[in-house]
Amino acid sequence: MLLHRLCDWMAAILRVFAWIAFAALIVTVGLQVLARNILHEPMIWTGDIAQLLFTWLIFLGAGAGLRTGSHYTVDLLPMHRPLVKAFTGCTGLISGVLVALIMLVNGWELAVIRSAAPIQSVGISRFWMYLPIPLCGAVMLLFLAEIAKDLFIRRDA
Amino acid sequence: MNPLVVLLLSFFVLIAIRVNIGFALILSSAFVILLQDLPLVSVVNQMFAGIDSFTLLAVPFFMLLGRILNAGSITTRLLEVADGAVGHIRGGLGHVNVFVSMVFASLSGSAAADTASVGSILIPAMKKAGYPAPFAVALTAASSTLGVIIPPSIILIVYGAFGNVSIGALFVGGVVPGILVGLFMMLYTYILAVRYDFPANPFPGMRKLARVLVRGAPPLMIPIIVLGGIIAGLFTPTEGAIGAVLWALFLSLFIYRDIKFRELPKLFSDAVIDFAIPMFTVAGAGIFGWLIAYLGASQIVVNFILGVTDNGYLIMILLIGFLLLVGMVLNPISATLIFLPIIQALGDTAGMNPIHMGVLSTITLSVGLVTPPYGICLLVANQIGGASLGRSMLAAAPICALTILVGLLSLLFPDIILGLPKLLVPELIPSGG
Repeated sequence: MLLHRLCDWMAAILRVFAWIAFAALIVTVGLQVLARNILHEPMIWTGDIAQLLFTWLIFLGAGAGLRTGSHYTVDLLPMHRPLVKAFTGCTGLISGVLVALIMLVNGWELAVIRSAAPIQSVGISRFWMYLPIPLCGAVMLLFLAEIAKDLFIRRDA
Repeated sequence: MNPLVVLLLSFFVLIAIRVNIGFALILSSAFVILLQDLPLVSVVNQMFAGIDSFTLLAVPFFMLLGRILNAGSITTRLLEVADGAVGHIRGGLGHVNVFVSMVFASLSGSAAADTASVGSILIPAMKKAGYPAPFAVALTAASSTLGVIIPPSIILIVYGAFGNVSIGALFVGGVVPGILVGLFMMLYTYILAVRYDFPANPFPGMRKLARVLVRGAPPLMIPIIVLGGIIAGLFTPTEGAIGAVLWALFLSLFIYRDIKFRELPKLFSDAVIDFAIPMFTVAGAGIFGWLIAYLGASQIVVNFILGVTDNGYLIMILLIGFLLLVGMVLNPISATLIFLPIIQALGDTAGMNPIHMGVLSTITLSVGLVTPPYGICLLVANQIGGASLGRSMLAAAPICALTILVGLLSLLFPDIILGLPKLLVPELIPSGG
């Protein structure tokens, strides 16, 4: 129950973050168009902020998409057979954990390596550009724990 | 074992056992990176590099545009325009289906969004009017793939961004073949309508036709904003996309008032999932594509093909066959990214113009959205239509053949693709071919 509630909270936080960040992305790129085409005074920072928001939205959105089952899969096996379903459930889970760990551990390593360089136009560390990669790994691990619980408890039942 | 073989084999084994495509790309790449004694941090580094492109920012905006069109009354208005324009021809609803997909394609660029929105209205209507359910499903799914060919196409954006080809020229190059595929589909529908006596809707009369055209005119400004802005050199594709989103939001919030402000958070957060998943796959394909290039796959394939033939047409026909196979198991975005170095290398070997090559490979890969097992448009349409999947696949086969036919015709007659760019944006066409 606690795990499900934790996942519900995380999903709700991600949804709020998603719409606010997407709205900010629209405003940022809108400003860029306005500045370049109407004011004829390019705002360089808008490009960097847009890229920053884009990266956060992709990785956290991909994390959220794991819970909604939105990631692409190909059905080549007869999924109506319980054994096949259980097997693909397990392989999906293991592969998910491995990917999430790579993103969490190596993503954090990359963010730390890049932290020395700044994003010139906004004066912040590039660490913030790479941070969503390990965060995505952490979110995925949380949702994978819920998937694992559902998979094994249902099988036991 | 050769690392390239390990890479491809492990990837296909993983997707065969139903691992997410994005995860399969990352894991098979990580495996080869470990075998090559490279640091694992290069996996995440290349994933980031895969999405670090301002041009790709157009993708979320076109995805959001699809959501806005579906949430408000814009899709219904477009259906009214299509019904007024072509509904009275024999097989009327079939023509409306193709026509509205052509128009929708020029607005959103997402084939699955088109299948869901147009299909939910037209498939039940076609079944009620006496069309066989598998045909209604197949036509809806196949015509939705026009969204991949007719600009603004997300696949063309990805191709241009990663292949270093002008997206504006690719967009303009997709117009004629896209319309041609649509017209062929309408011709096929007409032939079936005559043979099986499918009905036509009554002609609404000039006054009503004029009224629905006026009602549909504001959303039809969207392709003019996007394509017109790009051709005139006013907009980049990303800027055109944001212009289209703002115009569609303005229409839906203030003019038609069919979307409420309080609905925007859900609309936006749903759109984030819509684009985050394909972009995550793009990130995964970033590392996979980098390894394909690093391991020299392009040269190996080119040498192999040149060992078989050095005839440009035969090379291209082999490539089309390969892409049709690839499209069956991969979505067009992943397929484009993974095999881009090979597509471009073979295109260069065959003496193809890069714009010609980009549009031709996109036309070919679009077929995979209907063919099993990854025929996402057919699966979505079949879900709506409740037909037997096997019968829907059979009904879709001749319609897919029409798309392939247009691909082959544009291989033989390059001006089907290059004619319009030569006329409108000659400065964006690179030499070659």
